[in-house]
Amino acid sequence: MKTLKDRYLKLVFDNFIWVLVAFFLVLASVVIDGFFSVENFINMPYHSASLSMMILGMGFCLLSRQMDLSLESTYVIAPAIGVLLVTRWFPGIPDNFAVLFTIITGAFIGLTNGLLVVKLRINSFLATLAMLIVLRGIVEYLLPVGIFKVPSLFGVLGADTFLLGNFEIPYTIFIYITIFVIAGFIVRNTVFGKDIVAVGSNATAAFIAGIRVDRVHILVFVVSGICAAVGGVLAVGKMGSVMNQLGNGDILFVFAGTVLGGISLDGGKGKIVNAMGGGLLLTIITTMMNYSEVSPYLIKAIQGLTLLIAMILNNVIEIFVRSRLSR
Amino acid sequence: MNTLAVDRVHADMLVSNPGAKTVYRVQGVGKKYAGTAVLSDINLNFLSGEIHGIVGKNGAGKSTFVDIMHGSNTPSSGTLTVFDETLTKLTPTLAHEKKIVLVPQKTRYAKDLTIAESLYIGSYPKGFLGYVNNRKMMLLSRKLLQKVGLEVEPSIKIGDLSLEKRRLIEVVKALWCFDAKVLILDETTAALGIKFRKKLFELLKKVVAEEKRTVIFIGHRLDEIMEICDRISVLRDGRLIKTANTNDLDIEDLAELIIGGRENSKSSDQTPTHHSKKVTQQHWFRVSNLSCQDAFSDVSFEVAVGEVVGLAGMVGSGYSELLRYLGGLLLDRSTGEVCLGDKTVIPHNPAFMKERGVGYLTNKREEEALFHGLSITNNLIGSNFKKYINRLGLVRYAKVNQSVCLTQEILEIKMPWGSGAMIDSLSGGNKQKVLVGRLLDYDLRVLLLDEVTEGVDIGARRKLLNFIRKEVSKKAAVLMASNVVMDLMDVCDRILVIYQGHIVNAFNRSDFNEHEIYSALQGLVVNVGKGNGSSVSTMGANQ
Repeated sequence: MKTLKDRYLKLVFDNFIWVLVAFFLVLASVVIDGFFSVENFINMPYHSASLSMMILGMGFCLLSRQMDLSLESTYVIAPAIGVLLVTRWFPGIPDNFAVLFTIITGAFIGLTNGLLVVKLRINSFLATLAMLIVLRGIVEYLLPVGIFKVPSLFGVLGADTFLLGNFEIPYTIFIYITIFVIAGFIVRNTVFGKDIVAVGSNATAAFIAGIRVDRVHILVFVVSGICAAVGGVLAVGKMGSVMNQLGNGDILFVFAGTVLGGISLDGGKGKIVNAMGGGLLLTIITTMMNYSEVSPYLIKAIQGLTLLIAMILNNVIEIFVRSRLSR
Repeated sequence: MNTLAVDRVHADMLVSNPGAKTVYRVQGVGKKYAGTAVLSDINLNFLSGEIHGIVGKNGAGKSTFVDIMHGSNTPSSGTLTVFDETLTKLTPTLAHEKKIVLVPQKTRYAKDLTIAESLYIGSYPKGFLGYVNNRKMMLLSRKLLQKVGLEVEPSIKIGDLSLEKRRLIEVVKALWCFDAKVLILDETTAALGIKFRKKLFELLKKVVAEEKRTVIFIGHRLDEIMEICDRISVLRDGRLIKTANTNDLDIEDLAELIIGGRENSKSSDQTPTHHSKKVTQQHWFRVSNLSCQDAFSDVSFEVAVGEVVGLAGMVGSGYSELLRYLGGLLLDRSTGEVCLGDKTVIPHNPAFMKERGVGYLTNKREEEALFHGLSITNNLIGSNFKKYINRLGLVRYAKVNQSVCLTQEILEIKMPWGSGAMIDSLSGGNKQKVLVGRLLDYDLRVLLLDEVTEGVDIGARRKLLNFIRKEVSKKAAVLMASNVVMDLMDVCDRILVIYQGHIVNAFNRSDFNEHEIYSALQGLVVNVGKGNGSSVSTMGANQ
């Protein structure tokens, strides 16, 4: 029989990302001067929010055993098109509708990805890789540099703060935590979520069991496109501009964050809420670099190394727990 | 059978095959699992230059015997002697060195290798400095392929060949690339059509006659066993019943030896199913004149709600394809019609069929049915979470757990770590119970069960069959296919026999007789007038 101790062990293992997050927070607080401050602890989730939204999208994809590389391009093209629609192409529309159009664009890109993968049977890695390049190209064409004035709603969502006691807390934090909670709910408590997990675990079995596998996959891509678009809204609001290089190269960190969050590349395994921890951990590592006096030329190497350590810890613990539980 | 008897058979053999030596001697071999004997006291001599058939029902111990003979399983007792050398411990590697080669029932192919590469994998012909001499390899391969009359280029990829050709190439590989002195063929012919079967038989006869090799041939089809083997050994319940020269046997005798007498085989449980009490039930599920390319043709039958109908056949006889078709998984062109109630449907998709109340249980449990890495609950509910949502669209776990508990109780699923544990922590039998439980949860009108007892231990098997007979049949029409006649006899109201894609026979429960059903699924003519087999000639549709 499973003992209580084993049960706790499994609980810790299933949510190991939070142990890693705590570990790095404590480590940084002890080692790096000035790291431990309330402002910093508010700033880290704030800065991780937009990346985390992409991680959430990737989390949905990986759960259903697909990939979406085009997230980082959707992240920039969705707000770009949203803003251009209200400022340049149809100036009559009220400015703040740009946010809505951003989300719609994201959904549309996701739908395109989904149709390419499901209807034309293109491997999702390849289809979304092409999409990644194409969309980035279109953004560079549309915005030679960027847009420097964005509708005010972006700012409200991405930069404005409210007072809680003595501290200014950005709405962003509230928004992204809410979205993650809802996402967790969707995966755990809705038929759609159950279908995603089943399809990711064994698509053939899901098909035979009567799940409409194609529909689930298309919807997953749509959701992931929407997530990236929301991330784009938050990022644009934070910076007050849409730069054409926004998010360039982020997709690798998105992968890292999702896998660190315990969502397996094999599909069907992992908790979507823990992907948030993955995003948080990445931001913590970056912040550590900024606070410590490391040569700027070494930052990338150290970031990579820290990621590697995190993954090694993750796997060592997994092997340990597995051997304990299978006894 | 004692040693004396073996020696007598041996002596008989020597008369008909002078100069034959014992190549492989199996003495007193037995195998026990947790106190239960799967094999006991097997004594057999395999001679050079003979094809030796081993037959028996499913569960007679054939596969254990094969495993022991080529070293992947160690016997609990007894010795193996190869070429006068008694081996204390046989491993597959050692067997390979001793030129004992197995062609297994199922093989995984490296699909992207060429034929030549897959023939010589592990022992590529080398050239100067150890590079692989591709030209030589092609040349050698071409020669081998010509030798067996396979008209294919050795540069073709294995994955592009038909299954039949792949099987033949495997035999070629065993014979000449591994240079087998003792070749064990485990149901190699099951996947072969007539043409390739003939080819294989010619090949085997030739190597046995000319090169004095030994072939051990495990099979289900009695006609081909009779055709190709010099001697036949019959296993039943883990015991060697008889070894005889083929000339001294006829096919009826053989069937009798396998089943174990004509009279002992009445099904024991005569309690009626729900159907038998309520015969007036309409025929909910009807199939008429259904044909589908090579898989099956002109199949007609009806199943009423509350009735359990068995589909007995050999592996490859077409029953799996029939069920897959009805479940919406076989999209080949077909003729004929399938009716649910008074509506005609074309099964083109499992989701579509499920909406109409038809559920299918695949025989490939691990690959096609289980959600590995998910919890037992998830596997039990499958795609049926729709049933347990509230008005907001959220899953009500209280209800889910209630249903899981109920299913667990009625099917007696053993979950040592609760329903939240991974599905892979369960045994085969319990996994199968979970899958049957999942089908039940769908509230179906028609259940298509393909080999529901395969890979299920004896206790769970009993439970499952009982359950199907007593509970499932209350609400649904059940069509279950199997190659294990006894299982079907235990549960079914009627048994249809399918042979080479045709339904050739039908038996009512009162007329069940294992011997007759077994003979029918072998394609043998059954004596219609004999005993109580009066329903033999009626087709399923007339019932």
